[in-house]
Amino acid sequence: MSTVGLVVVISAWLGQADQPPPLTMIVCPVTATRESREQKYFEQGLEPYKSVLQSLPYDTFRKAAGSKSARAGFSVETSVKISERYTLFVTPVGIDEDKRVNLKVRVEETRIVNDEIVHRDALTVNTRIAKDNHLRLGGLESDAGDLWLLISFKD
Amino acid sequence: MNRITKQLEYEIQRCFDSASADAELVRILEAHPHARPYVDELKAMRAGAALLASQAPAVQDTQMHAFLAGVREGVEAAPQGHRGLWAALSLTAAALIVSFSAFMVMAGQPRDVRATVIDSAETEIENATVRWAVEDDGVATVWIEQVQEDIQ
Repeated sequence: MSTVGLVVVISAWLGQADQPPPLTMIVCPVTATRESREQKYFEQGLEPYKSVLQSLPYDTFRKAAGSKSARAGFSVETSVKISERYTLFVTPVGIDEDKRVNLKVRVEETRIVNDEIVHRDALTVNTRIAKDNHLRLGGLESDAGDLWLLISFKD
Repeated sequence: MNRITKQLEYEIQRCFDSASADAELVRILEAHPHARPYVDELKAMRAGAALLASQAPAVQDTQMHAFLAGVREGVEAAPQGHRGLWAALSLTAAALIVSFSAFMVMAGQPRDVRATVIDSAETEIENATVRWAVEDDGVATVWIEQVQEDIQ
């Protein structure tokens, strides 16, 4: 029995050893609105993301919350709470032959329906994201406008 | 212990090949008796060379035609061998270059791809559609389009 346990532990350890090291995930939640501005407006603090946001069909971008970073281990679902309504779940699955991170991304929405808390996956995405590049998830309803999540990874 | 100097060696060698070798050598050996082993060595070398020369096959006049024909044949055949060698080397080098190039193309380092790829996307929101696009700079966008009636 103890031998079986030892084999299981060693197998688990070897399986862990095969996994790439955890990645640093950076999430920037942004609220986007259309306010009939002549020039696009980026709230202070969003300067590093101007090039990523520029092409979206909005003219006003505000921080929905501060940028959040988390260590995301492979084959582990890492959660980042965006707001009371939305939580981001990210699972790095592997790295493809072109060095892109293979990810399962899930945005869970929490609602109160008939006095009960209900969860649903507002968005589920299977993607391969190039390092130092951004994934934009959007169209999520929020009180302040459309919620967009800018997700990127670093080693 | 007396040693033979280089100068003495040269003098002995010069006398050894001259017509008056014996008289000169006698004079030198009287003045430098320790040089006798060196003179004996030279004499032994000369005798050995003469013996080899006497045993070397000589080409007689009657054999000259066949001898020259053999030489000519050898001279003409040799370049053909070299041409074959160089051709084989060139072909081998070309094959190596092609093989190496093919290897680099097919088994090279993974490409550092900038573009993000969306494999699939879906939503559990009723009456909503998920769309996605990848821009030229590699930034991928996934968004939900909802009809107003579905908003709760």
